[in-house]
Amino acid sequence: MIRFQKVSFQYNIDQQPIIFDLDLEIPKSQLTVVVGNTGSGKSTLLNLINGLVPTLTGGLFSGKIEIEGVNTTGILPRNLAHIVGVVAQDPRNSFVTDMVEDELAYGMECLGFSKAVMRQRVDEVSNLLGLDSVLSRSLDSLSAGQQQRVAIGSVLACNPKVLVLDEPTSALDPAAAEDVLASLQRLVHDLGLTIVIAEHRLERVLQFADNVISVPGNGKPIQIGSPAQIMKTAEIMSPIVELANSFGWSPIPLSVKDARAHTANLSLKLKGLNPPTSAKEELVEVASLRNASAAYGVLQALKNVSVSINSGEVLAVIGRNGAGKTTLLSTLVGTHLLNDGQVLVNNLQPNQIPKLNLVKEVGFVPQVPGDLLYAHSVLAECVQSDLDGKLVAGTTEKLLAKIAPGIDVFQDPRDLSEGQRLLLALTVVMSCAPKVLLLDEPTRGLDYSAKQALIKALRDLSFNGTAVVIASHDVELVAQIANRVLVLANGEVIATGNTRDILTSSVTFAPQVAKVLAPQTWLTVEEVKDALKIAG
Amino acid sequence: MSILLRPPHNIQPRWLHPVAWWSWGIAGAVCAMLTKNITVHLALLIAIFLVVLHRRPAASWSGSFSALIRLALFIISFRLIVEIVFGISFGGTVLFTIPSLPLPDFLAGLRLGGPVSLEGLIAAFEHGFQLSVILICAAAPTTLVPPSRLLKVLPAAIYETGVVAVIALGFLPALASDARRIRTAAQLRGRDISGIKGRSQLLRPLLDSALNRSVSLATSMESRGFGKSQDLSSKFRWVSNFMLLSGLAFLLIGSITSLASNYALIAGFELAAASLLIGAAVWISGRRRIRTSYKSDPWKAPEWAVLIVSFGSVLVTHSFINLSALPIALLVLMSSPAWFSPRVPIGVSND
Repeated sequence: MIRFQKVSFQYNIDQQPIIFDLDLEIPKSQLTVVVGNTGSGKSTLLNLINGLVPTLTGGLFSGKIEIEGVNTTGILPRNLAHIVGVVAQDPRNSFVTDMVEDELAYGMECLGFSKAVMRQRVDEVSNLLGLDSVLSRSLDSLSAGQQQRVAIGSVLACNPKVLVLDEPTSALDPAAAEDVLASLQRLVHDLGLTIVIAEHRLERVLQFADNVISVPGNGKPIQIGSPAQIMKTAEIMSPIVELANSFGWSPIPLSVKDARAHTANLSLKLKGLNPPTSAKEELVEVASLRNASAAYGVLQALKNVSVSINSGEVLAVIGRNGAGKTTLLSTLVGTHLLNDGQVLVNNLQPNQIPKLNLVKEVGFVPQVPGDLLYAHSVLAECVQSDLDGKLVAGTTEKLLAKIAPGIDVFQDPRDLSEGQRLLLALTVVMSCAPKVLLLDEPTRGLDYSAKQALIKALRDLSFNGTAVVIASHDVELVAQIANRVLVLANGEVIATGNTRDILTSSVTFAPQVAKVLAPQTWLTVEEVKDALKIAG
Repeated sequence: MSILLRPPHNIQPRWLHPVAWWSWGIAGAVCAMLTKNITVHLALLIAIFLVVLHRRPAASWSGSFSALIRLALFIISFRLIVEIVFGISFGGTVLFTIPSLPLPDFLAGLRLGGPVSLEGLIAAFEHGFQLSVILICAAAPTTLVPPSRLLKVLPAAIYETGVVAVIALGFLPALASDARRIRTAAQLRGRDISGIKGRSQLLRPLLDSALNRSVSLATSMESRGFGKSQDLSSKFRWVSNFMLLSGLAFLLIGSITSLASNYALIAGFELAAASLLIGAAVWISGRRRIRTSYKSDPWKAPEWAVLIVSFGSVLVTHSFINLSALPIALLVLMSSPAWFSPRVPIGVSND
């Protein structure tokens, strides 16, 4: 279907080519997942398909790309719009109109479809993606999952043969992600569409994949193969694949259902072993919400929430998109005021602490870590942070070396990878040693290794007594790091307790290992391996 | 009042045609220009308020009405200040006197400071009020019509320019919310952002986020076929360019001729020729676009009614300019769309 022939590409003449001498054929009417770390050339590969690279980015291109036997090299993306549909990472930035129906029709208008055809296709697409009930709504009023489906629908309406998606589920909670991916699979099965997806969260997407393209980066060759075949040697894997590789399951299972067929032996070995319990030390409460309610206009975002946050503990706030996670964090830093109830940080009300002193009590890493970074180099950022916090010169830089070892301090923060930028923002916030650290969706857009670095940094901080609160819908992260979980739904606390009890009893938020090994209550591969090692 | 203003039940919520709203707004502005009667202006203002309050969708772009009111207040106060400082006093009731500066002889007729009369202030207020009402009338449709719907009635030739303008409009609220987000983040980092130096640091992340936003939007539009066109033969392009240029030339000559009062007929002919040529050129170059339109807003009874009410208001004002019931008549006519125009679709309405 899509054939790359001897394709090489480099953004800059004096850099290494990011794609070198690539021969690749992406099969027709199948779902292909592209796997690789940030900066490995994954997005470049995706954008080469419809010519956004090099048309919009510039760069040195050689070779030939064919779609269904037609050479598309040098054709403008707009003139390929009826063949290749591209869905960008953040749907909100790609919307041209403000209403759902208009957005679905926009591409067709550009391509000159007739009115009757457009009416019909808008109707079909909205039925297919479950958008018929929101057709006349404004785009702002939709949930993140609905927005993502509108973005897919608006491209799909033009009847392309190929659909290219860059991390379509990175902003979605597990249930919404499942929804979107299931719709995509239906498109492949029912309409014979060829779909190419780049995705970091393999645990979500692997079970739907027909093929996997691995983009290892650093000049190593790009490979395509069946998921089981590629996963055998991959560096990045889902928890199921990790289990399979550790215990020699073959063929490698991709879904929970397949994996459960292999577990008999492992379950037997694990019988009698207990998952580790977090040592119950004396808990020191450093922050709390008591019967807190907060609202946005008429919308009640938090209803009667009570929670205490203890030092040395990692608390994960989970819930679906729009459940009130971010609002809960904002009330703890005093940027969103309560209508009712009380919030205390270190026995102070956060909105009454002078803004400049707040960071000594509670640190906040926002969803876009770049919002915190202003300087021209990492070093300048550290120096400025020392000045801001009136710290001994060099404090922040020392902390950075601990949190993100090996970072080039002369680089511009904007040239860092997503993961490094997050760690830098974390360092800057932690330089004043707040007792409470809040992180809002920290793993959005992070690749596997960046996530591991973050987990290590947060474990160290919590070991040294910082209370860490994470709002996230990345259940694998929560399983690896949280001691305690708070589940929010529509602004209400529907469950709270230790991570193992909550996650293993949840349908939506259970991590893969828990699903595979149920009814045993293991959360991560690491735990399982450690337990077996101790048992010999 | 609000019960009275519920539309009849048989009208489905939908957007009124942009041209209808614009004719209504412009009619209001023309009425306000025709007379100096302040009660008429007041009646117009109330009518506009009623309609905007009942037919304004709860979308970000419709928040501009309050900005409009602020601008109006500024115009009035500016006019009053000008009157106090420079106003020519006709005598009358002197309210107070401010220190005056003697001006040199060549500025005779001007005044700086001196006595300020009640009559002068009232006249200035009325004048400022009239200007404000004209402005509010003419700009009110921007709060009632989504910019994107206005785009659909633009001729194809200027469609792309229109898109740029509409996107730029949508960018401002997005930029403002980015700025808020970044400012909060900076404060939470413990950064002092008071003063010019403090604020200027925020520029970098703000530009960064604005740039990211525009690049993603451009990418999305490009890959969805924005600007896709079919090539016209070079002959057609040449003809269209020639017509556009000669049309502009006629426009120039026509405008100059029209200044000389005794050549009105000739000027009329020249201007007519200019508009014909420019129109034809726009039409030909518009044929390059292959763009179609999904759902154009229908033009049905409510649109006709708004159009009739608008023309009616201008006609009534023009014919009965001294009628004492004119303000009441205008109030009823101009506010009537609040009752009979369809409500805005659900999901965007603030009802």
